[in-house]
Amino acid sequence: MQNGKVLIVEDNEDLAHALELRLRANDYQILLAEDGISAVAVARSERPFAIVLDLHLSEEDGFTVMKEIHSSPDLSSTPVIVVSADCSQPTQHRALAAGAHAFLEKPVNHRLLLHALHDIRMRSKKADGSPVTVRSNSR
Amino acid sequence: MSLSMPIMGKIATQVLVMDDNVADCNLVRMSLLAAPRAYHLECAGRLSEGLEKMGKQAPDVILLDLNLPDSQGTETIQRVVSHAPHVPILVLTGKADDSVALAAVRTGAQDYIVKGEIDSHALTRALHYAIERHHVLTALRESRQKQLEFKDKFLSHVSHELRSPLACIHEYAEVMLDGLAGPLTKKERQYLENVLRSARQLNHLIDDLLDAASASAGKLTIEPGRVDPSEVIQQLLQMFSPKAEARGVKLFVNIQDHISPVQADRRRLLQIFVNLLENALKFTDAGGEIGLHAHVCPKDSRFVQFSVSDTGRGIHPENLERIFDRLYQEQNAVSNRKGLGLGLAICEELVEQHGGRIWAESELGKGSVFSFVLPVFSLPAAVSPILVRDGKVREATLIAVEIARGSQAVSDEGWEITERRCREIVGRCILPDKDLLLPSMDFERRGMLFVLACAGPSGAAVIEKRILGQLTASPQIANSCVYKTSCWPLPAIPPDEKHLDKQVQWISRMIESTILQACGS
Repeated sequence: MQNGKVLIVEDNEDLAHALELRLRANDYQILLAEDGISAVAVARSERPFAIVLDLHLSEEDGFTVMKEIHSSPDLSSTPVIVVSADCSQPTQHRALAAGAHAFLEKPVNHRLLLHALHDIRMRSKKADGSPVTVRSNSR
Repeated sequence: MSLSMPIMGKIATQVLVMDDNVADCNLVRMSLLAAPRAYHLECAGRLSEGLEKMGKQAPDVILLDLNLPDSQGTETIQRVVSHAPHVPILVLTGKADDSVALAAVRTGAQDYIVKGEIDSHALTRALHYAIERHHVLTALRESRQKQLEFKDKFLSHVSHELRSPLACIHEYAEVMLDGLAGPLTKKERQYLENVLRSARQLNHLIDDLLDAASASAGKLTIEPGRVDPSEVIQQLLQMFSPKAEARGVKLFVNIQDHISPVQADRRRLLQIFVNLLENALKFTDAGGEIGLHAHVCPKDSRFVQFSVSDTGRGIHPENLERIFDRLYQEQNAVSNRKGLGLGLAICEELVEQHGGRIWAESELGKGSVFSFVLPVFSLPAAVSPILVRDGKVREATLIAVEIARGSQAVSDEGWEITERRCREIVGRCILPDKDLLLPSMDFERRGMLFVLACAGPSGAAVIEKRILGQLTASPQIANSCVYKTSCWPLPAIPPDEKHLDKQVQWISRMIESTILQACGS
């Protein structure tokens, strides 16, 4: 589990579990949340280095959750990887415009997801003390 | 909407009579005065006068003589209908001429009444029937429209709902195949691969369903750029060779030398071809041939014609016209996989969005040829609307924007999204009538995009600064990419180039060579 904590926000339990299996096998520690409210709460208390967010949640939709994450100062620097079955261009554009780090189509290609997570880890390591991190801390 | 409201209400029914014969108008007035209900009558002797009155207050019904001083025959109806599509029309005719009257009804009138037969009872009945019938028709049309909208919403909802459980099936099959639940026997592996293959197939069908739903809602989007046909066809050859070989079908390519690039969305062009090729494979037996062709359209050299030919069983002439309809299914497909019957309808929509046309020719027992034409890519046509002002080519500068991956770990798909995002941001930094974000070109280096700014060096520097500012303001770009911009002033048109068209062509060549230069630097 030395690769760090990832929060998966997904209301389909089976799908969340499959993602968990996949990521655990790659040494990530997994946190699960079924809805937006608990997602924000878990993110606050556990401080994952990345959040995998399904856009289609039963209570709040993913866009609302993303807005909450980005507007709270302690979470705004946590990258959000959006997954959605609706991979139409307007939705992708909307997600990226809302500040998503990446957009992945469902069913999730796990190689892409692992790539994206790896990428985030590498960048946060490199960025230690660099201007990018200073700027996001000072916000 | 209440259907009977205008009739049952106490308010007087507003009747507009358009007739240049004062005696006819008076006859109508007398007849309506004798009626038990209240009417308000307006008369107009000319069409123009009538239309003007309608503009002030829309009547409940129009009594229309087809022959007015300023308009004759069914054209009169057309003009009234186009002016006020929501008002029912009752035609007044001089004699009982059924052919004229029927033509009137076909053009949009509700009914007709013969002038000599007007009496209070017949007239009021005809008026009210016309109003009622018109309301019923309008309601019908509206409900049909709502039904169509509902169907599309429903389709899109169902597709999304289907995807979730499918994603699960897919996910667990992959988890097991990757050995995350322990080692597998050879048989188990084989069966799981079958599960996965079917899940993928189902996913493609849902893609089609969604595409068809967006097509009918007019929401299929394309992003055209410059595409090299031979490069696309080579890619298709690689994709389909294994499948064709497995079926014992020969796949060959026939491309005209030096074929022009087309103006197309590369992914959509591939999608069209994949649909046509899969159909061809479906209907061609072992030993047959499938050809991929590209050449200049023989009828119009401004288009490139693409074809997929097969030596399959062919299509019955009766069905040729219907094959592009939604849900059309050709019977007797070779394989048992039939699909949804949406593929060709989607192809047609995509080709039309590109400004092209698609058609099929076939001979039973011999095979079929599906062809479509796409416009040749023309940089002069793209740049001239902003470059040419008052018959002259304006001074212009090319601004190159280059983004590069901050880390090699970003996947290709993820990178494509970043590139698109970058394009979107740059697109917002320019003025639509002064600058142009050039369409993506197949000879460009990846990660480069170009803005043609109708400005000198100082004006271009302002735009450059704006672009850099916006890219920095986007966390996704700023944190994951390295980016830079550069300005490339375009040379002035040589004085011996007199024709405007030639000037635009000349500057377009300069733009192309500058792009190549910027990509090489």
